[in-house]
Amino acid sequence: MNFISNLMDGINYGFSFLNLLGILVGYLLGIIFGAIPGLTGGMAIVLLLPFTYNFSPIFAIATLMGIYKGGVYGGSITAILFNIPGTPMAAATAFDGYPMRIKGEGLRALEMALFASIIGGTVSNLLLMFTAPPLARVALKLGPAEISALIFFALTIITNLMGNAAIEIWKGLVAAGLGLLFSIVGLDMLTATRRYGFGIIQLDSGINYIVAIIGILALAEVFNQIDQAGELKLAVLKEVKIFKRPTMKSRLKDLKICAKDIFRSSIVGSIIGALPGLGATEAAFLGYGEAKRNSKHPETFGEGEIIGIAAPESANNAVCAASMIPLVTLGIPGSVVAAALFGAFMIQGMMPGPMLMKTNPEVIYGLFVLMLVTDILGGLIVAYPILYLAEKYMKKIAYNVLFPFIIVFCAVGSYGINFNTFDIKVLLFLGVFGYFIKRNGFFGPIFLIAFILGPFLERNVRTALIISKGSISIFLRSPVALILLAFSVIYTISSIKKKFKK
Amino acid sequence: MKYRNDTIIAFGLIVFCLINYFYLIPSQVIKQGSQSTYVYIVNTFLFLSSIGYFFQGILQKKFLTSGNQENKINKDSKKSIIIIILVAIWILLMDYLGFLLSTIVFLIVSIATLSNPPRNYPKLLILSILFSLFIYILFTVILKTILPEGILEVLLQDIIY
Repeated sequence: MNFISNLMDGINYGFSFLNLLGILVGYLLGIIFGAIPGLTGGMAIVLLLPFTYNFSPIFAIATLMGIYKGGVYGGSITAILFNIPGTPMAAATAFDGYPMRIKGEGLRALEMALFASIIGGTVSNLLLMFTAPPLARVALKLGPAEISALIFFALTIITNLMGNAAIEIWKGLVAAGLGLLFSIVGLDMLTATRRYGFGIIQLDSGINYIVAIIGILALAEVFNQIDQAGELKLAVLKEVKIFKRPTMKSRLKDLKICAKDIFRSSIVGSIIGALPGLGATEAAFLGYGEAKRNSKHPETFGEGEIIGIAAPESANNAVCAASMIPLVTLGIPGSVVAAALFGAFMIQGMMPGPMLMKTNPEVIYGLFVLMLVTDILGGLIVAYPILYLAEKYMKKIAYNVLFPFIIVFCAVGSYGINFNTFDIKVLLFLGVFGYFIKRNGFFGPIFLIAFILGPFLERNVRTALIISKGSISIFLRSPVALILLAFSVIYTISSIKKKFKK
Repeated sequence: MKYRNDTIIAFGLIVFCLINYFYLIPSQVIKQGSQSTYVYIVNTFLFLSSIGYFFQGILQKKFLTSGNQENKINKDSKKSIIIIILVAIWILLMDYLGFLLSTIVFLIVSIATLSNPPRNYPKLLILSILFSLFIYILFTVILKTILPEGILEVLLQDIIY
C-alpha cells in the first residue's frame, strides 16, 4: 500500500513537461556523446554536473539519467555504421551490426538495437522499482560498524570484479587506498582541524568531489584519447550505397525472432548491473555469448545475425537502471556513472542511500517513474529520427577541435563551483594523475569511487570507534560486519590466487 | 617494461606510505590537532596493498617472458604531454590575461598542435574566438556568474552594458 501511494506521489511529482523535456534533451546529448568514439555518456554527465546546481533535484537527475541511457544506445550507432563502437559497451553489437550494414541492412540493425535497448531498459527499470524499496528497508537497520564493513566489502568486490589478473586486483586495491587517502585532505569533519593542508588554505574544504569526478572521468580520459586519436577516424571507412528501409511486417518478424533473447539478455543485464563493479560491457558480451550458445545456428553469428544485435543491446541497456540499485538502497556507487550520479545527488543536498527513500520518497519514486518513460520516449522521439542522420554527420567529427573544447568545458565547469582558479589547478592535477594511473593499468573509477565513499567510510568508522570507546572489536562483534569483512578478505585472496596465471 | 614499471611504482608507493607514517601523519594530521586512527588505518591498507602489488610485480616478472609483456601502453604520448603543458600555461595565464584572451590563445595553439598540416589558421582563429565567446556569454550573461577578467572582458562589458 505504501509502495502504491509513494508511486502515485512520484507520478504527481515527476510528471511535468519540464522533466520530460529534460529527459529528451538528456537522451539526445547522451546519444551524441555515446556515438562519438572516445566520448561516452558518462563524460556528458560529468561535464553537465556543475551546471545542475541551478536545477531542481528531479529535473537534474532525470536529465542525467536520460544522458546515461542515451549514451548506452548511442554507442551502437557507430558500432553498426563504422565498426567502431562509440563506447566499449557497444563492442559486441559491432560483431553482427557492421556485417549487416555492409549487406545494406544498416537501418534494420540500428532499429533492432533501438527496440532491444528500449525493452532491456524497461525490464531493468521495473526491477529497480520493485527491488529498491525492500532492500532500502533492510539497509536502514545497519549501524555504523555494518555500514563501514559494507563500504569496504563493496570496494573489494569492485576491485576483484574489475581486475582480470592478480596484479590488476592489487592495483585496484592500491587505487582504492589512494582514493581513501585523497578524501582525507581538508578539515577534520569532527574537530575542524587541518589535515594534509601543506599551508594551502584553499585545501581546507578538501578536494571538491565534482572537480575530482571531472578530473578523473573527463579530463584524464581526454588526455588518454588524444594518444589514440589516430584510431578514431571515421571518414576512412568504406561507403555503402544500399540502405534498405525495413517494413512494419519485417520489424515485427525481427522482434518475434529476437523476443526470447531480448528477454533473457534483459534479465542478465539487470542482474549484472545490480552488482557493484560489473557494467554494461560485461553484460553485453555475456548477453551475446548466451544468445550464441542458445542459438540453433551459432555459425551465423558474426555474419550479420539480427539476434547478435538484439542480445547485447538489451543487456547493456538493462544495466542502466539496475546499476542504480546499490546507489539508492545502500548509498554505494557501483559504477563510474553511478559515481557521477552520486555527485549529482550531493549537489542537490541529498545523500544517496536508504535514508533518501525515507526522507524524499517523492524524488526517488518520481525518478523511477521518469526512468520508466525515458527508454520509450527517448528511444522513439529522439533516437529514431537520429538514425537517419547519423551516417551523414558522424564522419565530420574533428577530434582536433573537439578535445580542446572539452578541456575548456572541464575547466569552466570546475571554476564555476567556487569561482576560483585554484579548482582548475586541482582539476589539472587530478586529470594528469588520472591519466598517469590509467596508462599504468590502474582503474581510475575505483580511485574515484573510493574517494567519494571515503568521507562516509570515515564517518562510520569513527562513529563505530566512538561507540566502542576506541576498540576495533566492534567490527568483529557484529555478525553482519564480521561476515562482510571476512568475505572481502577471503574473496580477494581467492581471486588473486585464481587470476595469478593471467 | 610494464612489469618493471609495476615494481618501480609499487616501490614508490611503499616509500610514500613510510613517509606518510613517520612524517606526514605526525606533521600534517596529529600536529594540527586531528584524530589520526582512521588516517593510520587507510595508510596501513595502502601500505599492505602496495606490498602485495610489489611482490606480485616481481612474481609476474619471473612468470612471464619478455614476449608476453603488454604492448597496449606503447602509445605515442607526445601530443597529450604537450596538451597537458598547454593547459598548465593556460591556467597560469588566466589570472593575468583573463578568461577570453587566454582561452582563445589556448584553443588556437592546442587545435594547431592536434591538427595535421596544412593547418587552416583563419578557420582555427574564428573557431577559437567563437567558442570562447560562447562559453563567456553562457556563463556571464545567461548563468549570471563570473569568469576571470582581463582586458577583453572589460571591453566586452563596455559593449554589452
